[in-house]
Amino acid sequence: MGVPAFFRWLSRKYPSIIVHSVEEKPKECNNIKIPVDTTKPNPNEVEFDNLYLDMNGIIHPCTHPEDKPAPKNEDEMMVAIFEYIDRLFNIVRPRRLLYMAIDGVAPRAKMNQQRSRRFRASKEGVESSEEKQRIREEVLSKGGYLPPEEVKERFDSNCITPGTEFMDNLAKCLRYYIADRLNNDPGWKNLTVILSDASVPGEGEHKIMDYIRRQRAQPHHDPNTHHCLCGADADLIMLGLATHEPYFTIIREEFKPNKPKPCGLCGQFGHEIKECQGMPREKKGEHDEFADTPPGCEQEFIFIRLNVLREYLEKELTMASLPFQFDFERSVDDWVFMCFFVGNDFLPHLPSLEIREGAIDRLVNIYKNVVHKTGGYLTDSGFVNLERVQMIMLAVGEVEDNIFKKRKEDDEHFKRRQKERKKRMKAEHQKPSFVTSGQFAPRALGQGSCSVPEAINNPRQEAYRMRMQNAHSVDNASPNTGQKRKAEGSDSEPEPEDNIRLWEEGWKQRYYKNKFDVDASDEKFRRKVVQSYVEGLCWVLRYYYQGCASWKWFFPFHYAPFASDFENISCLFKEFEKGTKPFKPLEQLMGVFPAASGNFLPESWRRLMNDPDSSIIDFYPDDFAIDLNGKKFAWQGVALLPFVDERRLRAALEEVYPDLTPDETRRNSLGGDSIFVGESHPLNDFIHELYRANTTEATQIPPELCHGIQGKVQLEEDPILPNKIIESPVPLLRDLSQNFAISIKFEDPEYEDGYIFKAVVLQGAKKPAPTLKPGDWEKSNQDRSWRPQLGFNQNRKPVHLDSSAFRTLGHTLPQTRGPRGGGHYSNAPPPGSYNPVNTYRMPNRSAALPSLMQNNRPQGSWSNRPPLYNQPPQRNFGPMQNPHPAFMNQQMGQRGPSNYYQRYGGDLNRQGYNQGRNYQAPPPSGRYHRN
Amino acid sequence: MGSECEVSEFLGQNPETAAWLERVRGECESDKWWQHRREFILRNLRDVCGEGEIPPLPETNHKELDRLLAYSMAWANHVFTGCRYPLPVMEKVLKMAENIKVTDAPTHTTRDELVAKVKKRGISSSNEGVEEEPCKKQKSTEDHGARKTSNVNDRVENRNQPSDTMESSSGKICDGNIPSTSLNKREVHSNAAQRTDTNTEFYEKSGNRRPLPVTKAKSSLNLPKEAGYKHDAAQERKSHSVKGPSQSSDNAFKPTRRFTSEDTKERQPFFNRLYKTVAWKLVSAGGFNANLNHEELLNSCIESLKATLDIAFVPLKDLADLPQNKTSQENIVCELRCKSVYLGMGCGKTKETAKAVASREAVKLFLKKKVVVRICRRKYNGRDVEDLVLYDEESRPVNLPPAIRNPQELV
Repeated sequence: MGVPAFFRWLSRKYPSIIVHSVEEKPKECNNIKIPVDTTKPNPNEVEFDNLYLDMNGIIHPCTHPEDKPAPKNEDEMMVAIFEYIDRLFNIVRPRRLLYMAIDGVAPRAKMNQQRSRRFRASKEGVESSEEKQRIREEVLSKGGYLPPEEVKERFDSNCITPGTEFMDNLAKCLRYYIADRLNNDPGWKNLTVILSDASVPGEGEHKIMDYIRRQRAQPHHDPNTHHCLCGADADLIMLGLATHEPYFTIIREEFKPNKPKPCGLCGQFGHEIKECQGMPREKKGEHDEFADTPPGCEQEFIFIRLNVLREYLEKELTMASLPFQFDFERSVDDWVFMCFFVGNDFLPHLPSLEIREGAIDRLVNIYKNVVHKTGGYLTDSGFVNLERVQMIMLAVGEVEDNIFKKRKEDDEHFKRRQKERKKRMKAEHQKPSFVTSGQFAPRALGQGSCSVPEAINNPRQEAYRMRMQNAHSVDNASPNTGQKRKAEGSDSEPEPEDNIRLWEEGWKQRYYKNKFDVDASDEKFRRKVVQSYVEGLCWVLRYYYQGCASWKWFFPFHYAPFASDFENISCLFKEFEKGTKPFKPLEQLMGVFPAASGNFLPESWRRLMNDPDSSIIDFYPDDFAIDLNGKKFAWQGVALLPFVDERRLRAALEEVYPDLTPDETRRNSLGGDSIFVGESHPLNDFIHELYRANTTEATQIPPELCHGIQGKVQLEEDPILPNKIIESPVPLLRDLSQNFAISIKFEDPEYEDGYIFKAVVLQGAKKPAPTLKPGDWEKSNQDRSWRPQLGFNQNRKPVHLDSSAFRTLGHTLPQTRGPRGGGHYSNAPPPGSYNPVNTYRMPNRSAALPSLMQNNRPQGSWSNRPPLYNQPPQRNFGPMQNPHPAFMNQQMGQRGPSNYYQRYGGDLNRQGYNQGRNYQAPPPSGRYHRN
Repeated sequence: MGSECEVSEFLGQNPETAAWLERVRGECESDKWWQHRREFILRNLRDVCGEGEIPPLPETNHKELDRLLAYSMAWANHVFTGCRYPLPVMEKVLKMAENIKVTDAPTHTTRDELVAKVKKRGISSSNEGVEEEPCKKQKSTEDHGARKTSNVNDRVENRNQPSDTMESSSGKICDGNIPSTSLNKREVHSNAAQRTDTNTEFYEKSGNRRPLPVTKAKSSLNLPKEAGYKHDAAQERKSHSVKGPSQSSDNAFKPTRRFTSEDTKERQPFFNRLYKTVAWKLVSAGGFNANLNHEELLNSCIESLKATLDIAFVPLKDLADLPQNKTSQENIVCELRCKSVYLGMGCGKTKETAKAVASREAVKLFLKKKVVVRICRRKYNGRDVEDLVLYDEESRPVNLPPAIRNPQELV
């Protein structure tokens, strides 16, 4: 889902849904890597049955990583992908099924987003390589040294789209990988593997959902299957909730902001391309042991436990005295539905609902107020009750006006604060950061009567006074710099002019005039926008709960209407067109690629993208307008790309279809899923028998052979068969000469047209044990304090340090744990801050003890760290009161939900930046838009 | 608006064509866009079928028709959503769109412009002043390419709009002739203008009233540094790609008159004098206040300097893209110019009130420390044109209301 903020919001509001993964690392002995035995119990103290991989979330970071040098060629990329899957497998250790889904051709509704991403990516790619070239020449001309340019083609990330050779190749490689692991990895021995490659239409995560939906609707499905889905998209959370499976966990990479990125030219960390000077590399660590990666920078994984989220939601959504029976499952569906208003891949979000402004909370409140009047739930198994939705929307519409005003106010407030902060920072740099005063004031040696230092009276109070004074003087200092303000203001960039001014009267008219270029009086047009949006909401919900309702439908505008426009919407939607077909892979490529990526297409097809006589030339503009729409960066804005006319596209392609080579025709065809099993899997013999008998028709899998998985299998044209040598598609890896794995085509169970997948918890499902503190804990357990559950295991034994461990810690971390200073809970300023010895020692400490600090960061941030100016010194000690998570993480190695906060990391200069609106550094993962 | 009447009249006579047209309309096209695209299609329908014939239905996938639809969409995307296509396509569609008048196309900033802006900021902050040498060099080559491009621009536009000249890019910046304004460009112009001002001022002080050839050389040496930065990679690319076709027909059309720093420089001394005159007049009138007869004041000052105040009126409804805060009852617009430099504009129920408002606005310009003539982009007849505008020294370029008369013709 195109809402990166959603996950942040969720993890902050419901912190207990996050569990850090425990990962067993392969050990190395005499330069031989010893792989982890994944047959052993899962170190996370939970056993998963099925692991689903949304492969695009893996392919993107492996092919064009942002935090390490890019792989040199396609082979290295493939190996990187294999290693990534191995790593995930090691963490999750699924016992029954591994499902890999690569994005196939997506529904039309997604095409606009895909188009805009690809048009931008193509431009960004060209720009960044030009920039690189320019700086490279500059650096070389100044005598800098850069590693010689490798002969590699610029990797156009646009090739990660179904239908390209790259994707075809990837599918082959994955088949090889699966066969290899089934034969050689004991953890895979009894595993069923399903691969749904790019030739199967549908987005990866939705193919997975479709599989789960179809399996759980058949009688052999185990209602207590523990699913684990891998992927970083926020909409996976919605999808997981939409399944109503009681055990559903999502695994994703932990998002760490401000991760150091290597320079694209010299490959070193610590500066950006722009600042590259071609300096020789500095030794990292005492023996250059951190040469490749800065310490602590390996990406870690986290689990998101949806059953805990369900617990939270149950607490939040449960309503007493309803006019109808409260059904938690239905209210979860409504919650999911309301999240769509705030943003999804298929519709622009409503202008008044901004997730950072607590839009979901607002919606939930409105929902709870309105639900008494609606007389029922908004949705039912993916079908929307528009009359009730209208009540919600109009209720939002009533406050819309205030939301916009508030937004403006907050915005101005934020800017003011930002400015003041800047000023303060500047003022602080101009004078010593902290001067002691009062009894502690510095005095010249040997002057007056003070040759013998007096004893200090009441040190705590004195320190307090000093602290207050210090805070005060900063405020005083700011007006002095007032003269400079004008100059500062003028060199900051001018804000783009906002001519909508949503906070002023007449905003609606201006919005429609500016965004749609129609007059507000054009009721018909406005109605059309609303109708499309309503259709969109219905389509999206159906897509999540029942599968793709129409491959053709799409939202034909770039902007959403206002909530207050949703009047009389119940008549606006009837039913979607039935029997629509997805595009063929190459057709979709024509629909989403800019002319600059035409090299992935056959010659005559490519010509349609740039020939002035082409009958679809209007789909391929060179440059397009971007409406920042209140945002700051070009990549956040709305790309005003023309929409594709499906009829004309198909008509134009008709003529070039004969030009396809047989291989291209194969790539252009729609394929199916494959199922793979190893030698000892019970299904192996069954499949082998099918091949031996050369059964042509599809055969039902006996569910008892395969943990209740149902579906039909059909012989493959080029299957993996026992005793057949499997050639390695990657030169780096060897061929498989001894193969016992087998593969066959797999079809999900079919259901008749119009079958409705019920959004309910299945019979026989056991409710997971609660994780959250019960609301009435204090009442029933007066004597015990609540101990929060940190991992999957409820009865996890807490680890204790014995006395020798404490001694060790006390020895190495004197000022926090040491015996001096009267314990670390002491409120008095610890002696450390006055003690020059400690001040000097601080930088050393971080270098000497890298292993003690879990979240180590590059040393730069330590040595750059200005002295603790403006912060009352003692606040940096004593973790009980520490408001500064970054510092705490370093000192204590503490891990927990605080890692999610954007506050984490960053040097002090940035530490205070508001994680809220406006200031948004591009998230490192921003590029990995899947599909 | 004449062409629209023509269209509706034609459709009234040919109901079959009208019915056919509705079938090629995009489902979600607004009336305004469709009205213009419809005209585009009708005007070029003879490419598809003979006169009077009913055109083929879209379902038949008629090749020529699809091509026409593609061009109409490309044109509409260009005009209304700010897309830019490769040059051959642009030339073709703009030629096909001859005589179609779009009065109120929205403005957009394209992605390249947006990125160029960011880049420019980054570069100028890091190595400004360090690399003057290469920049100058770079400039000479770029200027070459740029001039050629702008010639192409002119050519295309001339064909497009033979009656009035438009879109004279500054000669430094060239882009594939979008009629929509870009903030970026406007910024460039104002920057250029400011630089020129400082030059003029310098020479004025030293007693040189008239701009000398030396001044010219100086300013054109100074300007490129600025312009060099503006020249991002994308624009460079553009100018290269453009060279080819432009050479073949360089002389086919006469280039449009374009405002340069010369024009502003030429006028600046006059306005410096006018500034003094107005200032003294205001002092003797007891300072600026609302009760003064601003029109008389302005007029007498200008006449004392042997120039005339040009006053033009136009009914408000003819200026379709005025800001919305003008109420409908104020129905006459008055524009004041002097030496073809725009001074101000006012609205009113009668010509007199409009004139009074306009002159009050104009006099306000003289309340600051200095007035400056700048080249600005603004709308005229729905398209972007350059205009000479009088600013007070502090004001930043703002969104000007559309011009009443074509500034190019006034010079």
